[in-house]
Amino acid sequence: MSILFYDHLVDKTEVLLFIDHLPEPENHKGKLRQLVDDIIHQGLIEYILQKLHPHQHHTFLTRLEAAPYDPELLSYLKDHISPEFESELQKEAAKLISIIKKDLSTPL
Amino acid sequence: MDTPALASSALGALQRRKELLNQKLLKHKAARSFFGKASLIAYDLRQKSTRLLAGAGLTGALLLSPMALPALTGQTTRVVKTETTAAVLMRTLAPITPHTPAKLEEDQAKKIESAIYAATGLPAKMVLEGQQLNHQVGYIGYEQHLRRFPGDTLLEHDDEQIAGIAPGLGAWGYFTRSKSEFTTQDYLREKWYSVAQTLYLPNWNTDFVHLRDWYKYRKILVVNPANGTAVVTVLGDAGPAKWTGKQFGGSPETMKALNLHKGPRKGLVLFLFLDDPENLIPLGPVTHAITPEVARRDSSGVSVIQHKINP
Repeated sequence: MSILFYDHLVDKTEVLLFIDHLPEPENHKGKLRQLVDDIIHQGLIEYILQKLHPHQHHTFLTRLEAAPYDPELLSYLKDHISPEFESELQKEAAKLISIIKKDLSTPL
Repeated sequence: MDTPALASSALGALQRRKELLNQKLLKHKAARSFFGKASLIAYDLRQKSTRLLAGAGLTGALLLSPMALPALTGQTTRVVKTETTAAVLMRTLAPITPHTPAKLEEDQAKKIESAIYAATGLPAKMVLEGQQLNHQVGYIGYEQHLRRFPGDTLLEHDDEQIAGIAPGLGAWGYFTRSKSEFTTQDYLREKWYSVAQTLYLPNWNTDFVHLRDWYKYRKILVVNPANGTAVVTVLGDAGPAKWTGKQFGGSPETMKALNLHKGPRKGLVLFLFLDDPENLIPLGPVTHAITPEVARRDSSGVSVIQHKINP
C-alpha cells in the first residue's frame, strides 16, 4: 500500500540516488528531497485537477485530505476521467521526474 | 561535475519549479481553499497517511512496498518480483478453503487466518469478542443498493446503477437520518456493505439488543478464494433467507470487486470478521499488501507489522 495513493506510479529512485551522492550536509539533502516530493505532488494534483471536471474537484480533494493512501482515489479518477488514467498519471509523473532531473543538472 | 555548485543551483532551480507549479495549481478554485490550509502539501499528507496506516498496522507494508529500481548510476540493482495480493491469496487459500458452505473448524480457521494475514497483513478472525457467524464459507449473492437517507434514489448512487435499489431499508435502517447529515463514511458503508444471516444466530432472539449493536457495521473481510480478490466491507443488512441457498450478500460494488457481478452473480467466498477496534482499516478492495516474498526480504520490517497487529 502506498503512503500517497499515487506513490507506486512514481519512480524517484534516480533523482534520490543523485541527491544521496551529493557531498552536502544531510539537512541540505533533506531539503532537496522535500522539494522533489513537493514538486511531484503539486504537479500530479494539478494534472488531476486539469483532467477532472471542476464539479468533482472538491470531492476529490476532500477524499485526498481524509485518506491520502486510499487506492479508491485512483478508482475515483478512473471512473470520472478515464479507465486508463492510472497509466496517464504514471506518464505525467515520469515527465515531472525528467523536469526535475533537468533542474538538478542546471549549472549556475 | 562540480557537485557543491550544482547542489546550490539545484536548490534554487527546484524552488523556482515548485513556485511555478504552485501558481499553476492555485489557478484551480477548489485547490485555493485546500492548499491555502496547507493541509494538502505532500509532507503533511505523508505524515497523516503514515499515522493512519500505522494505526491500521500497515506501515510495514509501506516500508516494504516494491519499487522498480532502474540502474542509473552504474550501480547494480536487483529487482525482486512479487506476486500480487490476489495471486498470493488465491495460491494459499484455494487449497485450504472448503468448496461448500461451512462453519470452519478451529484449526482450519487458524490456517486460513494465517494465510490471509501473511498475504494482506489484515487481522481476519473467525471468532471475535466471542461472536461467530453460522458460516465462514458460503455463497454470496448480488444485492441491490440500499437507501442511505430518506429520499435517496438510485441516480444518486455513483456506480453499478444496474443493480437497482432495494424497496425496503437495510436491517439497520437508513445509514444516516437525512441528506444534510450524509457523510463520506455513510457513502463508503453503503458502497462496500455485506450481508450475513445474523437473524439465524442461535441467540439472536434472546440477546437481540446486544447482538444488533455488535453486528451493526461490523467490519468484514470477504475473499473470493477462486481468484484471490478481497474486499473490506461492513455488515449493512441481515439475510439472505435460508431458502435462497445463499449465506451472504454483497453490495453491487463489492460483488464487482470480487468479480462475481456477472452470470449467476453468486459465488463461494470466505467471510471473516476484521479485528479493527479503532476503525482504521479502509473499506474497499484490498489491492496492496505485504506479500510473503516481500516480507521475507526484511525480517525487521515484518516484526514491526506483527507487533502492531498482534501485540
